[in-house]
Amino acid sequence: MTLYQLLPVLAALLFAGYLLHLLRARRIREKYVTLWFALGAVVLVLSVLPKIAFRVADLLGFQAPSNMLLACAVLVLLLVSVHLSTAMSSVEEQRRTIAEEVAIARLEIEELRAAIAGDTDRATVAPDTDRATVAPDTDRASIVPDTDRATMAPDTDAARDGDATT
Amino acid sequence: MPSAPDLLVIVPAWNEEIPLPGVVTELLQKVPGADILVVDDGSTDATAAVAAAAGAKVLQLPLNLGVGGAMRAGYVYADRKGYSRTVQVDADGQHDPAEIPLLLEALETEGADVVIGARFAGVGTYEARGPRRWSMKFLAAVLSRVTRTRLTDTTSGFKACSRRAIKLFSQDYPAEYLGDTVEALVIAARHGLAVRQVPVAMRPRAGGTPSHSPLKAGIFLMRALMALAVALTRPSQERSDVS
Repeated sequence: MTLYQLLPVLAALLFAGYLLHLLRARRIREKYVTLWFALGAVVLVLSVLPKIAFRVADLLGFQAPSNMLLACAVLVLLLVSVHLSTAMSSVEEQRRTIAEEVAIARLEIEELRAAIAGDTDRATVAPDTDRATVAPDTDRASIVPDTDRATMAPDTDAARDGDATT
Repeated sequence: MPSAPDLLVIVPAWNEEIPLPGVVTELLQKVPGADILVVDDGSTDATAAVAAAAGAKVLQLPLNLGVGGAMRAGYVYADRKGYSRTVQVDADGQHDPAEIPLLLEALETEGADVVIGARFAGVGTYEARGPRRWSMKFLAAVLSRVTRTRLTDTTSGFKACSRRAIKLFSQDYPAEYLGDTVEALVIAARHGLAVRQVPVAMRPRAGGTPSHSPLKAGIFLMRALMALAVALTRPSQERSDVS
């Protein structure tokens, strides 16, 4: 085997090694790697047994096997990039949906927080000074007396009613 | 929290901290009883803060999604909260809140699901010139056929929606260029919603003027044709359980 024949084999093996590295580092998902492995395998087979390329090119009427390989490479890359564009588009659509959900959840949190603040303001048991000293929200919830939580209940019910009508 | 919310005014805003407070204040004055929802489309300025300070609810998108993206977020919110009508108003103050009742009236009297506040329908002085004007006329002609009603201004961002339209748009409202105007009308028509227009006067925008360069007008036409072609030939969506 000459160096000329060995080079593509080495290249294919290096490529496969790089893919494995990406996969193990979780920088690429398994479903995308499969395609590239399959293509690498084809390159490997062709570089070990170039006769196959000559035979197939002859069969399909190509003047030279290199023409066939280049045409195939262009076609495969074209399809892959179109596939990536569609994958991108669906990811963008998902991103859009998530952005909507985040925005709506944020508004709900702000409104609930304002409602809670309003309730505790009205209650004489939990003066403003207390609230200011207890920083985290969870702590604040635990010191709010039961009576306060009871006054909050109708609000949350109303919110759920609003959702149920959809 | 109101038990039966009725009208939600949706204001998509991207870096509009200067005109926005005035717009929100005027909406609160002239449309009493309505909730004002500013959809902050990933602004880098204080849009969300000034809107909240002016008394609006603020939907703060973490990313810039474009007008279509902001509007769908608004429709999703309106749908979940059970609002029966929405009005879309631009954040730059070119839509007169005093004309909102006209749009709402058309929803009622004409049994419409989408009512467009149209700029070229005789009222007001707004005018586009040259190739851009021809493009807009062409769009209007095609969309008039699609929606089976006479439309003169299809790219207006001044629109009222019924409950049915809110439901539809909360599921399907394109974020593409012109998707929020041209394609949205096609989607509405294809789902059997009634589209109408009401003539309105536009006020001068608080900042910037529409471009009249022929190149930009040409690009506008190409993209409009693209949007139209895609919208008209798009296979019907599986989520079409609205009507």
